[in-house]
Formats: sequence, C-alpha cells, structure tokens
Amino acid sequence: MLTKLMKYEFKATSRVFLPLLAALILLSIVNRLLNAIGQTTPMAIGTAATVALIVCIIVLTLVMSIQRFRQNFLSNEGYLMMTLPVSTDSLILSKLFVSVIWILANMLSLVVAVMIMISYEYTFREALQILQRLGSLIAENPGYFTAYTLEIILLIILCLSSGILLLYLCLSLSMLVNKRRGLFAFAAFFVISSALQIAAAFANSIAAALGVTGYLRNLRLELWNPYSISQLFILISIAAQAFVCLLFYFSTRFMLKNKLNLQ
Amino acid sequence: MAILECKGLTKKYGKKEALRQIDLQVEPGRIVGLLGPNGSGKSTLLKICTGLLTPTKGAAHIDGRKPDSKTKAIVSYLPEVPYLNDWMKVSDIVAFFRDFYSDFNLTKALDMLRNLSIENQVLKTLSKGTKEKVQLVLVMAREAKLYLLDEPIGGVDPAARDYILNTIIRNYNPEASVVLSTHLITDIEQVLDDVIFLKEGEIVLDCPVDELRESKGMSVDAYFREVFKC
Repeated sequence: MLTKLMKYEFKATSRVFLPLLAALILLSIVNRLLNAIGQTTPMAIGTAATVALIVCIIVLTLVMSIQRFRQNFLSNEGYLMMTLPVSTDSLILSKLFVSVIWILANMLSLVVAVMIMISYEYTFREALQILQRLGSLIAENPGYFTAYTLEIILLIILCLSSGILLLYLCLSLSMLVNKRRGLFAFAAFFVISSALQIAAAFANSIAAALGVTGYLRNLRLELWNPYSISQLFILISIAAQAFVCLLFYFSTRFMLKNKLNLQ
Repeated sequence: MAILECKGLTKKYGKKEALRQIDLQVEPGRIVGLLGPNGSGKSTLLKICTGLLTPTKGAAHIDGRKPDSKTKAIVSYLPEVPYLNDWMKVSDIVAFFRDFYSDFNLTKALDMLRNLSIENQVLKTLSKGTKEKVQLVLVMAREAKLYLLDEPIGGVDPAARDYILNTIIRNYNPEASVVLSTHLITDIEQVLDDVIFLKEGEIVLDCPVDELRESKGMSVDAYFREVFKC
C-alpha cells in the first residue's frame, strides 16, 4: 500500500515541481547562451528571473511539505485519505519519503542549473583539477571514503526527515484544539524547536562536566581516521537525528491514530 | 453479530456535547435512516464510525472491531463534504478507488457514471452536484459490508435523487447494511427498514419503520415533524 500511496503522492506533487524544475534548467541554458553572446541587459533580466525561480522553488518545497500533509490528511481530502484501508504508518511514510525525494531532487536541480550557468572553460579546468585531487584522495583510502560518503548522505536524509516530521507533528498536534488550528501548529513548532535546542545545550554541558569535551579536543581532525573528531561528530549527529526522527514520527503516528479529529 | 455497534458513545467539542451516551446496533442486511435536524449529531456519529473523529467516551465497533484499517476495508463512507482532489480527472479517481479498495466493482462504477452522463473531465470543471454524484458512484460501486452515507441526496436534483435511491436499493446485498443520514425524509422513507431519530445528540427513537407506522398510525415524515416541531 505504501508504494500505491507514494505513486499518488508523486502524481500530485510532480505536476507542481516538474514544470518548475524544467523551467529552471531551461532558464539556466538561456542565461548561459545570453552570456556567451554578451548581451548585458537580457542577461541581467535572465539572472534575476533565475534567482526568483530558485527562491520560488525553495519556498515551494517547504510549503508543499506542509500543504500536502495538512490538505491531504487534515482537511476535506482527509475524508478520503483517512478512510482508506491503509495503515497510519504507510500514510505518514508515503508523505515523508516523497517529500525528502523532492527536496533532494530540487537541490540537485539547483546544482545542475548553477553548473550550467557557470560552465566556462576555466571552471571546467578547475573542476577537473578538483576531481583529480579528490580521486587521488579516494585512492588513498577507498574504504573510508565510501563509509564517509554514506554517513554524510544518511545524515542529510535524517536531517531533512526530522525537519519534515517536526512539521507533521505540529500539524497533527493542532487537532487537540477546536479553533485556530493553524496558529496552534505555529506555536507548537516554536515550542518544540526551542525545547530541542535547550535539550541539546543541556546535553552539551553534561558532556563538558563529564570531561568528554576535553577528550574530544585531544582527538585529531583527520578525514580518514576513524577515531578522529570529525568521524565522532558525524556518528553522534546521526544518532541524535535518528532519535529525534523516531520521537517525532511516533508522536505524529499516535496523534493520527488516536486523536484524529477532522472538522 | 451486529455489523455496527455503539456503546455509551459520547463526543464533546470543547464544552458542547455533540453526542451523549449513544447505544445502538445495526444488524446485517438493514437499511437504516439516521434522521434528525441540522446539528443533531448525525455527521459526528458517522465520522466516529469511520475513525475520522475520536470519541470522548465510549466506543463504536464495526464487525466487532474499533475503527482501523481492517474496518475501513469493509466500510464505504460518503461524507457530506467534497473530498475529491480537484486536479484529478474522473478516470483518475476511479483508478484510485480500484487501487485501494479490493471490493471496488469497476464495471458497476463505469455503468453508473454513464447512466448519470458524467464525462471524463477534470473534477474542478464539474458542478457541485455532479461532484457529489461522482462521490456517490464511487462509494456505491464498492461491495462493502457497511455503507455509511451522510446526506447522500442533499445536493442533487430530484431526477438524480431517484436514480441514487434506486442504486441504493438495487445494490442491496442481503449481507450489507446501509446507514444513511438525512433530513429529506419523504424521499427516502420507502427504502428504509429502520429509523433512528437523533435529537441534540441523543437517540429519541430507534425502531423498525413498519413498527413505527403501526404504533403511531402515521408516516415517518409525519412523525418526524411531530417530534422535531419548532
């Protein structure tokens, strides 16, 4: 059922994102061509349009994450979605996965668009040099490189997921009140994110008190060393983000399962 | 075993009690009219049975279970609000139902859409009444054990109303039950087996239609007007 839900979620979201991403790539090509011809005024307009489009895509990515959950589950469309014979897990995960995939796809498209616009001869040469240097670094220690890359990807996905799940949690918590649900969700967002920051600061001071910080200072910052501070930092971040994700996920699940109140 | 059973069901919105200590049973194969004026708690009751609302106290059981994904597979629910994604075409939403409900009868759905002359347009371009018809077709094309229909004939024209009522009767499967809420009693009186009168969140009457006609000597509609006289 999860794949079916994701299929429909992609259908619903791609009609918004695909034209925007196509426009972005097209615009960046046009920009690059204008640049090659050396037309200053159209080039300035083209750049401004691209920047506007990029801002639009970033804002829309956030808005869509909120809107899809709120509209599809907690507004009128919820009468259809929440009466489907599917588990609450499938419902939440379908939204989360599709949201994360779109954020990654949008990020990738932005990178591609920027690369098209700055694709000059010397940027190519420099890029090649960087790639060569990176290649030799990887060759030194391919195992650690793979581990490092996977860890970073996992961390990015977990960070995105915890952010999205926090939005879902705030929206589902708003079902506890009968009026001004939007305002309540907004307030919940600030309260929870502040509480998290306080908890992180608290954990930090405990670590300092226990002498962990001193220990960490003695660790060297080396990319490939498994015992270096950078490795430790990534692993702690992964564990912390995974914990936050689980916390937000199960709280949202509890709300949708036990406290659903569609008005 | 009753297909739908409510025990001590109470629902509060803030301080306001929308339902108070509702006890009821719907046996398989019955068509039950849930009748009451606006705001009497009809929609709230149906929404609790579908799991869209959480009761404050008590519980509703469908086929012996509290509302969950298993009960949702055997309940076909028609809400009173439009719930279709406006950007979809009629064929998209039909495919959606076929994808998620194993009891969805595609042939029946397409027949009904044809009979109601609904073309395969984007839902956004359809009128309010036509959208309601599409929703009703989707809900009635399922071969469910329990149909919960909230104001199924409220917004459609009299000709479509007749068609819909006929559909409900034609769809009649000896195993399936229908609970339909409405205040348009005259139109549906002839299809009902039982009636439940809801008044300010409480059940004031729960009996077979024939019994009511015999004991009160009047039609359901006439008795309704007497009970709910303003």
